[in-house]
Amino acid sequence: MNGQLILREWKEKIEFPLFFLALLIVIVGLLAAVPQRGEGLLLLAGSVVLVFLPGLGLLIGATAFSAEFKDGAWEFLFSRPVRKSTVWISKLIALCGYLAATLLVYYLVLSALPGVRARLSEFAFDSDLGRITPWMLCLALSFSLFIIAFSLSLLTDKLFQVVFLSGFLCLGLFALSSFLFFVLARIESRFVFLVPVIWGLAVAGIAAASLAVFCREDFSQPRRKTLGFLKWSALLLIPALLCVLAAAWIGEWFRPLQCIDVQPAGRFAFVQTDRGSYLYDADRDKLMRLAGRSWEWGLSAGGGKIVMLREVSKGDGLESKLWIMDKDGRNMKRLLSAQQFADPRFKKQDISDCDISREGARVAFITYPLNHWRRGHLWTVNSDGTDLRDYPIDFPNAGLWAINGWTGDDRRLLLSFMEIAPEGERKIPSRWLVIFSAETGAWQIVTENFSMFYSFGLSPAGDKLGAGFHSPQLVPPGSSKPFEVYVTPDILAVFDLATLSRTDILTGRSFHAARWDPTETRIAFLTDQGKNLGVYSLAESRVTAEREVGSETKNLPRNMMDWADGGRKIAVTSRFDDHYVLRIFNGDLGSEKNYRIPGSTKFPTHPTAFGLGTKILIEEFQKNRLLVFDLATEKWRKLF
Amino acid sequence: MSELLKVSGLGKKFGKKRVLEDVSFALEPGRVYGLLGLNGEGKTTLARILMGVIPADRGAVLFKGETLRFGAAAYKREVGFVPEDSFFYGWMKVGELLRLNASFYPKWDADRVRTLGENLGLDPKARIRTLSRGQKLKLGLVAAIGAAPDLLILDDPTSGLDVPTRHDFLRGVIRDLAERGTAVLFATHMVHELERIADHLIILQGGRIILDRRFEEVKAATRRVKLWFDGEAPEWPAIEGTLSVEGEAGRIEAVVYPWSGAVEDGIRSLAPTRMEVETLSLEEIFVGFVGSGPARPTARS
Repeated sequence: MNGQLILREWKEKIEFPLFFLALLIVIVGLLAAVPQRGEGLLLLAGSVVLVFLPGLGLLIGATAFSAEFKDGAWEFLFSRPVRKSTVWISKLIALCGYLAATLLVYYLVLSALPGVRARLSEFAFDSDLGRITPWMLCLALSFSLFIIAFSLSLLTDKLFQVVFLSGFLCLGLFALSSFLFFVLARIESRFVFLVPVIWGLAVAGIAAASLAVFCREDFSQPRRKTLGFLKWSALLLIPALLCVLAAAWIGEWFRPLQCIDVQPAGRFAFVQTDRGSYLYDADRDKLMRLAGRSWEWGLSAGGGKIVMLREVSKGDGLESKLWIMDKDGRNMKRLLSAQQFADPRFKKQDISDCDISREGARVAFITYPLNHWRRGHLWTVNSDGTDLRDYPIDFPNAGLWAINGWTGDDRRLLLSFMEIAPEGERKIPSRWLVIFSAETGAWQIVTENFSMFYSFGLSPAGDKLGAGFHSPQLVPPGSSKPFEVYVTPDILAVFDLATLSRTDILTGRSFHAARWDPTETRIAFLTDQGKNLGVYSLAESRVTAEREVGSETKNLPRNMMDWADGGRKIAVTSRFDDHYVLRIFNGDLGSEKNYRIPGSTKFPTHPTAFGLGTKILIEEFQKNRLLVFDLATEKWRKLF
Repeated sequence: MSELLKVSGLGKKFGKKRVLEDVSFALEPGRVYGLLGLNGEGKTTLARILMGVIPADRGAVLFKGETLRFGAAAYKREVGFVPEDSFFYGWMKVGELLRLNASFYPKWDADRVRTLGENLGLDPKARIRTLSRGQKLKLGLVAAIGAAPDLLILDDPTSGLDVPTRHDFLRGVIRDLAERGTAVLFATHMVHELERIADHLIILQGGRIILDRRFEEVKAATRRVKLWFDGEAPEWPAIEGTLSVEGEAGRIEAVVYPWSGAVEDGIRSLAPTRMEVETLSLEEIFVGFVGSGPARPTARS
C-alpha cells in the first residue's frame, strides 16, 4: 500500500463521491415527497439499496484503470520503483474506501429516514444462513460487483465491455449460488454455509487473477493479457474450490453429531444422529454407537435385545435393512437372510416399522408394497430368525401402519393406522387402534374413527394405553379441524388393553403432554401450552397436585416433561428471561429445584427432557446438543 | 571499468513476430550509449524490458551485478526513464506529478528539479493535459533526472523538442549527467542528435544487435570508397566488411567496415582508374549499416 498512490486515486475519482452525495440529496428529497405508506416509498428505497448502490460499485470498479488507458500511464506506473502489487492494492483500497464511505453514508441517511427502515425490513427473509436483510444483499452485491469490475477493468479500456461482463459474471455467480443454496438446503442444509464461502472465493479468485495479471503479464499485448487472466483464474479458482470442498469433507469428520431424534425406553435412550445410531445407557452413563443411520427401532425391556431398521443404499435387499443386536451393540446381525427375503411375498415391498417383544423372543415388522400404502403385511419372527409368519392386513383403505408396541404379556401387538379415503373420494382421515394376537392371528379393533391427537404410549407394564382426545364439542365428528389447525386435546383417557375399555380420566382442560409414572400409578400432565403441571393419581382417580411451571408458549415440544428417579421426581424444562432451566419437582410437586442448563441462551431452543432413572437427558435440537443431568450428583455432562 | 548493466541473450516476441533476438550488450557508468535502429526494430521494446514495464521472453538483465526479475522494483530507484510519448496522468498538475514522483525516489534532488523546471519553463500549476508535446517531454526529463539516476534510459524523447531546447538538453543535461557518472542509453532514430554526445553505438536491426562499438572506433573504421572505371565496372568482389555497394555505368560506391590495409588492397585489385576513400558522418554510417545491401556484418566490442 502506498499513501501517495491512494491519495492520487482519491483525487482522480473525487467526482464519484461528490456525484453520489448530490444524488443522495435528490433521493432524500424524493423520499420526503413520497407518502410514507405508499408503495412508491418501498419501490424507491428498495431500488436505491438493491439496484442503485450495487450499480455504484460496478461503476467505480469498471473505471478503476480508465486513466491508465486514456493517458498511457501504465508505463509511468510500471517504470516507478514501486511494486506492481502495491500499485494494484493501493488502487483497490482507495476505491474500496470510496465505495464503503458512500455505502455508509447512504445507510445512515436512509436508515434515519422515518418509514424507510421499516419498509426495507419487509424485504428481509430467513434462511439457513440466518436473517438476510436488503442491506446485507446490497453489501454483498456492491462489493462483489466492484471487485469483479475492478479486476476486469485492467483488461480493456472499453467501459461498456467491462460493465457488461462484470454484470454478467456477477449474475452468473448469483444464479450459481442460488442453485447451490436450494440444492444444499434440500439435500444437506448444514452445508449451506458453503454458498457464501464459494461466492467469496469466486470473487477473491477473480481479484487474485487480476492481481497476478497485473504483476506478471505483458500489458503491451492485450490478447496475452486476457489469456493470462483466464489462465490465472483457472489456476486460482479451481484449487481454491477444491480446497473448500476438501475442507468441508474433512470438517465433516470433526464436526459434532447432528441429533435427529431421541426415544427413551426405561433406562435407555435411543439417539438417532446424522452419522449413526447411538444408545445411551443411563446406568453406565455411556453413549454407545450401535450402527449407521437407522429410522425405526425397538428395545426389549427384559431380553436385552434391540431390533432396528437401518437406512440402506439403493440396490440393497431388505435383508440389509432389518437388524438385531444386543443392547450394548454387540452381536449385530441381519434378522432374516437374503434367502428368506427371496420369498415372492417380499418382492417390491419395503419395511416400515419394527418392534421386539418385552422378553426379546419375538420380532414384529410391517411390510407394504412400494408406492402403495394400503396392502400391508404384519410379520412376526423369532429373534433368531426362525418361525417367520405372515399376516396380511385386511383393513380396507388402511395405511400408514405403525406398531405401538407389544402388550405386557408379549402375546399381542398394539397397532395403529390411518384410514385413507378410497381413490376418488374425499374423506377426513381418521385413526384406528387395533390389537393383534400373535398367537391366534386375530385382529380386534380397540377404537375406530377417533380423533386422537396425542398418544403418550403404552404404560410401563404394557397393559394400558394413554392418549389425549378431542371431545365432540371441540372437534365435531368428521371435522378436519385438528388436521388443519393446532387444537390441543381436551380429554385425557386411558385404554385398558385387556378389556379394551376406555376411561376418560380428565376432561375440560387443554392438555399439552402427559407421561406415565414408572410405577403406573400416576400420570403427570402439562396443560395450557406448558403453563401448568399436574399429577393424576390412578388409584385415587383425581388430580393430587397441580402448580404453575411456566408461561403459555407456542410450539413447545411435548417431551419437555418426564418422570425421573423411579417416579419420585418430575423434570420439566422451562425458560427464564435469558436462559433455560431444568426444574426438578418432587412427585407431589411439593418442592422444586432449578438448575440452569449450561450454555443455554435467550435463543428459543425449547429443550426436551427424558427421565432415565436418576439421569435426565436434555436435548437442544436447535443447538445440536445432548446433555445429561445427574440427579444424585447434581452435575451436568455434555454427550455431544 | 565495471559494468552497470549487462544484458545477455534477450528475446521477445509479439505474437508470431520476433522483435528482439539474442540481444546482448553492457553499459558502463559515465558513458552515453546511442541505441540506433529504424522504426519498429525493437528500441522501445528493449527500453520497456529494461524498465520492467514488459517482461522478456528469454535472456537475463543484470544491474550492478544482480539479476533482475520481472516485477523487481528496487533497482528502478536508480534508473530514470523517459519514453517517446507522454505517460503522465493528464488531470494532474505539474507540481502534483513531481511530488508524486518524488515519493518513489529516496535520492530525489528537489533543488535540481526546481532549477531545471524553471530553466525549461515548466509551470508547476499547469495541468499536464494542457501542456504541449515538447513541454510534456521536458516534464518527463525533469522527472527522470530528479531521481539522480545511475542509469538514464531515453526512448527517443527529443523528437518533439524545439531546436534550442534539444541542443541545451543534449549538450548540457546529458553530457552533464554522464560527467557525473550516469550511464545514458539514448534510443533514437534521429542519428544526428547522437553525433555530438554519443560515446558508444549500438545498432539494432531485425531485432538483433548488428553493431556494438565505441563511436570513435566505428567512425575511424568506416569508409566510403568511390571507384571509377573505363567502360563497364567489374563485379564487386567478396570483401569482408562490405556494408553497401551501389554501382552504375563505370562507377562503384561502397561502404566498408572495418577498413583495413587488406580491404584496401582487395579493392585496388579491381584496378579502378580513380579511387577516393572518405570518412563518414554518423548518419551515413547508420545508413550504411541499416540500408539496403548485402548481408550485414556484426560488429561487437
